[in-house]
Amino acid sequence: MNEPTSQFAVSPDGIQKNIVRSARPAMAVYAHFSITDSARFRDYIGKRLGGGAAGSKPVVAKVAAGLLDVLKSTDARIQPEGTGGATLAGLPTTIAFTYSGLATLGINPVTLETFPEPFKEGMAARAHLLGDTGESAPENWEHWLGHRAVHGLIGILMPADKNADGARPGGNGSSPSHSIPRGMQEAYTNALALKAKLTQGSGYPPREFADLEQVAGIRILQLEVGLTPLKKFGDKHYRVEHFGFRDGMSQPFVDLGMSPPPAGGGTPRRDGTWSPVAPGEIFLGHPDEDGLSAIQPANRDLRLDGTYMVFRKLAQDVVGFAHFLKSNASDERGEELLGAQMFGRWRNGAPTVRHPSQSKYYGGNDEAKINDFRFHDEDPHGLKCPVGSHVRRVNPRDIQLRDVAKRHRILRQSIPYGGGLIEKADDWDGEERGLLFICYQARLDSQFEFIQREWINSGELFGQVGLNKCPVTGANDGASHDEFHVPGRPGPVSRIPRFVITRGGDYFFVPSMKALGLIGNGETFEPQAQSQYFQTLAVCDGAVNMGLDDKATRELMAAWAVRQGVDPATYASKAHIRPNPNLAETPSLFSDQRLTLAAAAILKPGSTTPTIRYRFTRRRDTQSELEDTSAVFLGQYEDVVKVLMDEATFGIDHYREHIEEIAHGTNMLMGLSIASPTRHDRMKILLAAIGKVQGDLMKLEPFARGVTTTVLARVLPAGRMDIVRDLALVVPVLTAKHFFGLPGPNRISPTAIAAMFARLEFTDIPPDWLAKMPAAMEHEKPFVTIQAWAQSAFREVFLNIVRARELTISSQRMTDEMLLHIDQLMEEEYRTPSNQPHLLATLMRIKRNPGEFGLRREDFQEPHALDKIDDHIRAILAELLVGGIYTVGKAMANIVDLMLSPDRIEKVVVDGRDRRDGLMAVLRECAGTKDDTARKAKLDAFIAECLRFKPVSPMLFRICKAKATINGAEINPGDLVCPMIEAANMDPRKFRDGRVFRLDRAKNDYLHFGPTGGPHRCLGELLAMAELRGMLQEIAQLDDFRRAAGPRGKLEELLRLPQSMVVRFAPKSQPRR
Amino acid sequence: LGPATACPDGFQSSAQSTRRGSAMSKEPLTAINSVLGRITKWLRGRGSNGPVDTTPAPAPMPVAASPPARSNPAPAISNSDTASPYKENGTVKVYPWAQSKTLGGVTELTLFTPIRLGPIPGERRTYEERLRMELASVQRRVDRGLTTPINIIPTIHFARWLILRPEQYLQGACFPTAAPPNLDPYLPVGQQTHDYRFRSWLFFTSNFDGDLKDYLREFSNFLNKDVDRVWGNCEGYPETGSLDFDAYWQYAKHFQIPTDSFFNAYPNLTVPRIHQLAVFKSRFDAFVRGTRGADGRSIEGVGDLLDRFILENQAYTSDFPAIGGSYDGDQRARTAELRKS
Repeated sequence: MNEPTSQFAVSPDGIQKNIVRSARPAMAVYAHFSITDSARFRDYIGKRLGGGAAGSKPVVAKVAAGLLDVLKSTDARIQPEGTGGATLAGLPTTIAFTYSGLATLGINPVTLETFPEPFKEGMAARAHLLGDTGESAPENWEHWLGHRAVHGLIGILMPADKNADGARPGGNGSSPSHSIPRGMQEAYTNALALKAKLTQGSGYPPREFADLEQVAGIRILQLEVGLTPLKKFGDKHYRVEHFGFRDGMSQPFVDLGMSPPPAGGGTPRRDGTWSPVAPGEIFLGHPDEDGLSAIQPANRDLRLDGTYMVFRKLAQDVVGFAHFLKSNASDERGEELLGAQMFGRWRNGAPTVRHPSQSKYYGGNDEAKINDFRFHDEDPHGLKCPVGSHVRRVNPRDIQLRDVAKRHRILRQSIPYGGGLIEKADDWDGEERGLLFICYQARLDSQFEFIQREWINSGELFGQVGLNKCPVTGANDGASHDEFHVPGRPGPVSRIPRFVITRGGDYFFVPSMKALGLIGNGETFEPQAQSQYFQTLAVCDGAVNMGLDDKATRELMAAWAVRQGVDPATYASKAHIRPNPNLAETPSLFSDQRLTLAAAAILKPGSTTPTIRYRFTRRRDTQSELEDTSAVFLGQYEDVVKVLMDEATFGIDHYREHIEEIAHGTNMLMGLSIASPTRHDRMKILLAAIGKVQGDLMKLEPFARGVTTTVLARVLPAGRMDIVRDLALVVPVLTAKHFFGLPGPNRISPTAIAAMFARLEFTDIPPDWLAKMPAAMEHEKPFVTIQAWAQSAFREVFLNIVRARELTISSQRMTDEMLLHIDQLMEEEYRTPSNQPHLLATLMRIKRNPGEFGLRREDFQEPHALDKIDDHIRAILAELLVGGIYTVGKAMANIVDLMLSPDRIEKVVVDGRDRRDGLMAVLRECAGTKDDTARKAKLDAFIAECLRFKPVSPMLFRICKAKATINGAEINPGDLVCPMIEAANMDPRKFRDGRVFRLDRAKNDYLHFGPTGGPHRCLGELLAMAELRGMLQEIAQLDDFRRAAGPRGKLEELLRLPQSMVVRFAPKSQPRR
Repeated sequence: LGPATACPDGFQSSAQSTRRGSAMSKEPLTAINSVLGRITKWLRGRGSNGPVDTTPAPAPMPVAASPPARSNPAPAISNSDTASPYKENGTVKVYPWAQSKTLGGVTELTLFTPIRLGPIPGERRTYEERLRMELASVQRRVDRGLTTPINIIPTIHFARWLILRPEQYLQGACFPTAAPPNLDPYLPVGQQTHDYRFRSWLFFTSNFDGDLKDYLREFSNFLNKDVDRVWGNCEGYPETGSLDFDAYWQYAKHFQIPTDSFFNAYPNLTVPRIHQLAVFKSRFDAFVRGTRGADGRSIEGVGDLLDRFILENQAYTSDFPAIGGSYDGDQRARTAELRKS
């Protein structure tokens, strides 16, 4: 709160001054980078800051072509020029970081935690507030924009020859290229060539970019090139944006003590002049319009003179806009008028509030007056400049109801992209045109976000209702309510489409020159207690304590303790309920937090608690008394294996019970103990059938590849897919159809629909709810139903260890439907044999003639096994559906999720080499192995190692049947024993460097299919591996494989089963090969 | 079964005691069993009136014992119509119920109900865990834009549920011993036991059109299963569920807490009316749009369009929500009918 203030508050050398000074470059290159080596990057910054001569005037074209060389060169200094501000090779430069970038730099985590929420969350996470939906949604953003892998941005601004608004274009005529500023054509072409190398290269990083990683510790992920087209109005050329309107005329004038504010550049005064904008509105640590200074982040050196930068790539539908004007006016003059009213200015910048019916050219001596107008004073009801017009919304100047404009300022530095200006829609060259929207402010939420949310995308503003969205930049979608009211026009202009589409962006922090220097010196910016809110800052369970531990409370409590005769010292320190109380969760036996803490305690070297026993009370049923019971968590590798190998002591009866409960007494192999005669008999039948279909099963891997190719062919042009819904669950469902002979029914399971509404009965759903549901496409029905059945039964058997009754009931009904469906398929197959090679047909052949398969009555342990063969076949088929779909689906989702979470893995070592290029490159290598056997082995190793980090079942369950001792701990009959597979996979006693990803680990050490030689090793192992190999080989072909930005890119699970995760990759019109 | 006779001592006393946070008995199990015995006896005596929820509602399991005699009892008011009876030391004492505040046609209700302690029979989770899952499931449906049971009652302006944990309400609280209470029912062996003095509460607050009793009757008539799935996790909830309105009414009134300040933006507009006005405006805009050409001037035949507009905007049944609570803003069905005529 006590920041130093002076008359001219911002110290001129402190800020990255190009923000203010070079607001209008003719061209700009923005390199989004990822920090691969934070020490090297800090060193790079440190060495290039300060000292060194400014050098001669740079040749812009050469810089653009040799940008990488410039970045690599030691001569290129990022240094304060005479007047302050960073330059690179003599060009004004902006260096900014995202939140993940600051974290990667190693800034103190508590300080990081004190950054404001919008910056911490990033733009993609706040898309719903910004109107970025549909085509503009983060999952559709371009390349790496909005992705957490973007750590920062280097913006290099390239000024025009001379005279900001007087610069001349390179040519005459009306073709787009003629509007490019003189001398910029070559630089622009060079920069685009560099960008093309980055986006078109296959595999990362392209060679040209690779050594930058060695020199600077950064990897450039994305280049954006901006270029301002020029257009002639009157006798001069002016900067325009791609709709063809003059741009960047009005700018909040920040008081830097350099000159008096120009007209329109601040807050209007009563006497007709304008007062400047307080520096604290843009730069942190300075007084804002209310005289207050920012207190976040909690380190003065980091904060002071810093600012937040919004970078947003906005595509403009230039042709669509022109057509819209045409179809909503009767003549050319009407088009111009409508366009001017939508913008609030004529194409040449003349404000409609002064010139409502005809444009006026402000040239020569009048130019200064083009901004000297007010809205409310001159046109309170929007009769000349509609209240809903673009410029009036984004800078309302003098709204009288509340003095709001001055609290929502942004300093803009936007630059168009896409090339020259399209003067006529017919001249469009097919290149996307748009704007790299860039602005600076002190508060992201009440400045940029507020303008976007409240003024652009809301209809209720400035005391008016029903203004709808901004007709130019709003998130309209051509709906009937997307209207714009034009004064004097009898009806509104309606069905406005979306002219501006967000292609991506992020929030960046622009540190001051001083802070940048400190970053170069390795500073971590420890938190400083400068305000009462941060006095007791401490990271507590990942969240900041809300500070009820304050002085006043402590004193009160100490005084109370004295009255009670308790030692105040002990009391004051211990008597609080401390852990982040505002997020108090309901304790649950298997909560992530409990499991994580337990695993940590169990695995710690020299752990004194190799097993942890949780005691709780239980009632077996409504009639029985409360009894004490225990759950024993164990996670050391040897203990886990011991439990899983010893079926006699650690039984699996609970699986059998769960299955019997949902399947009306039907049993499955997964719930039958090794000694069970039913299991023996069923295995006999199954093995006999598998012997016949073995040859066919060998085709499973190519089949999975084929399905994946088909899926990819569909999604490749978009470069986007939901890895769970589009692939991971599709392959096993199709496998069930083609190899097991189990297609889904041509209807949607009514219980699945009921479950969607949390109802048990379909008939419990009001009819209008169903009417509002999107109709499933016909071909999706079998998928949806099979997935719903498999999901429900799998969850019930393996995951519902808390025995939630409502899940059990729903699962019972789904299983009913599933068994009925299987019965129908069996019956059909029995009556009219299909002669297919699949499992169902083979099993029915066994039923017809067991002798053909060498099965004799005396081979079976149960006397009537062959008479009950229908039960066995039904159970086998049901088990394949229950056990074969979500296991593969979850494994695939987990593998992809792991590949895209590099921070979960400490290091990747393959063939003794440290692989910094990530798991995708390793996968590509494995999949690219020519020799079939070697490729299979390599892919198997890859899958196994991925599942070691992120197993399908992080924990298994056994019920203790006889007294036993595990690692010194006694386990009693009835105890629930919980071997934590995920913990055992990281046990340093077994796996050396557990956090290192390597492919040379012993195959038999992996636990994800059960311990080697164990009694309940997964029966579907071969099938699952074949499907996973098939999918991964095709995924490996994708370039630029990455998560989608924003929430859709996260793996979404529901009750621990995968639901959705959107991934992106380089789009292609045709599949490879 | 009138309100005055609906509540036997066991039901009320266990609930009341927990509400006051009375000290825990030294022998909780014995105390539980004795209280439980009384409750079950009472509940069995009621018989089953009407269908039972598909999810078996387990018997209430209060853990706190009956309260000790209070040194300073609240003033007793005898009013059998509006008050709930409470038997203490052999005498019936009647405490006043909280009353809802009303503004224009809008009424508020705030319920503060103790969540049952201990495990659900046959499961390995507590009532609170089940309640969290249930509320999360409702929220998930709202987030996905699916209609929810709340839509079925067209008078609800808003409704909100939250679970208040001891960690939250005990922030900065004073404990005479150095160790804070353990609030986790799952304990590593060797640590102190779960402190049952502090329980979690379900906080529900809602604004709605009309009268409280009508509102709760709608719950009882149309949403009883959903209501049971939420409040069935709470102490003292009638075993017969909300379908048994009298019992449910007693329960709700017992745990209603008074509101100190109540504000509503639309005191004189009902929820269906708000929907209807919004639909009217969009139809009006559509009408205006239909009468205009590209340059904004009116086209021919405006009179016919006006007639149709007026026809469309008489009060029609589809201006009201359907059974499931959804509104047909587009008026698809009726527009089709109009076309035919």
